[in-house]
Amino acid sequence: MGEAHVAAEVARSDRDLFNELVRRCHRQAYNIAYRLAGNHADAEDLTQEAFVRAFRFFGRYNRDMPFENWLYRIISNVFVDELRRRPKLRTQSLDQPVAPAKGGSEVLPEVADDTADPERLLFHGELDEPLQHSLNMLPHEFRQAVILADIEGLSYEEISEVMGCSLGTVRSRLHRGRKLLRNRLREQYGYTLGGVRGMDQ
Amino acid sequence: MTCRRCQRSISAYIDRELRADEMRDMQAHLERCAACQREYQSLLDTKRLLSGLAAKMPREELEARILARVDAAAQGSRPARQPAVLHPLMLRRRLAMVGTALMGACAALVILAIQPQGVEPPGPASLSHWQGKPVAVEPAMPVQDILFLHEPWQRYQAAPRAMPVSSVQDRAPSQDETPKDGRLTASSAIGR
Repeated sequence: MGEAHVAAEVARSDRDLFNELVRRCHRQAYNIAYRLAGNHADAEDLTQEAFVRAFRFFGRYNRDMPFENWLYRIISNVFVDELRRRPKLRTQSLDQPVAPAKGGSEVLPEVADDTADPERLLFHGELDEPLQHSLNMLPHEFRQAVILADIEGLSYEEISEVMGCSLGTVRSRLHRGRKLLRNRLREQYGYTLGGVRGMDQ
Repeated sequence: MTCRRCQRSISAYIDRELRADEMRDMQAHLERCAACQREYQSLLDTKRLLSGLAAKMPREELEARILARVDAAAQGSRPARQPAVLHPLMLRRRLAMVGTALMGACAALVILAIQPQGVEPPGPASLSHWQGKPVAVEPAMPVQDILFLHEPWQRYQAAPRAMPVSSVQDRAPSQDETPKDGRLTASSAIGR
């Protein structure tokens, strides 16, 4: 009876802790989920499902690892599971009904000279859509690596833990992901990166 | 250093993830090779743009929804007892899980039935690989330590625009960008 009482107390304090972690981390988790999935509806689903899994396996959480990093790992796994189930998730973006061009030039946005400067667009908050579209087009392993490194600011070692791969793989995925992203921003949107504008190439 | 080798390492150089001697070699090569310098600058610009993105903020009710889902899971998450607000996507997922369990894992159902919480559900097999690591649950870390050990989420408490860009702040050395004719540089645009 006494042991059962202690167990119940432990369960309750674990639950309190978990609720606090939800409160603290759900925005961050949502941001990652959004960048991975590319739209609000899928990002909400991913976030909820990730926290449910995190709760179920909370007893196995290695507390040497930052909770967010553990959560990123779960989000990544939920995301990959969803990709297997729904391949369209790969490119679908409900918030951005205008689909990017598939190799054709007919959907290219009209780019005036002053909009080729992505820094200016970033400053005005206009770069989110092009960047998100370009992220959506990346193979998901590259997308994850780029998001974790460049949006969340994780080190290669942390990314290798989250993604369950070697440092060399992280390095390669990140490099290739960034290059693909740069090429897309130049070619599809005509942005100037590193002094070279896509349309001029 | 060859250009080929340099270009392979540019991202790691930007992220300062090379050894000190490699960083020096890269720097020396970049100072005298215009082509590699352009490649470096373009990838650095790409990273800055991503780092400068405002955080996407969820709807207010997301937290409550998460807690409701967790509640349901805590009360013995049998698929039939999922709340009606369940997203169709998740419902399909639950149904698939039930099917799998019925077909192949009677034992799992028995375990699920007799133990309401903390038990591994008949979830997707892919769960197993991220739990393959040695598990250290003891000693339990005090609540305080877990909550305040790491601070990245704190930026999500503030307005998205106020987000610090730490990954850019400690970027590669000695490649000070020069502002281009009064235009905003990436660094000024993202608040460095």
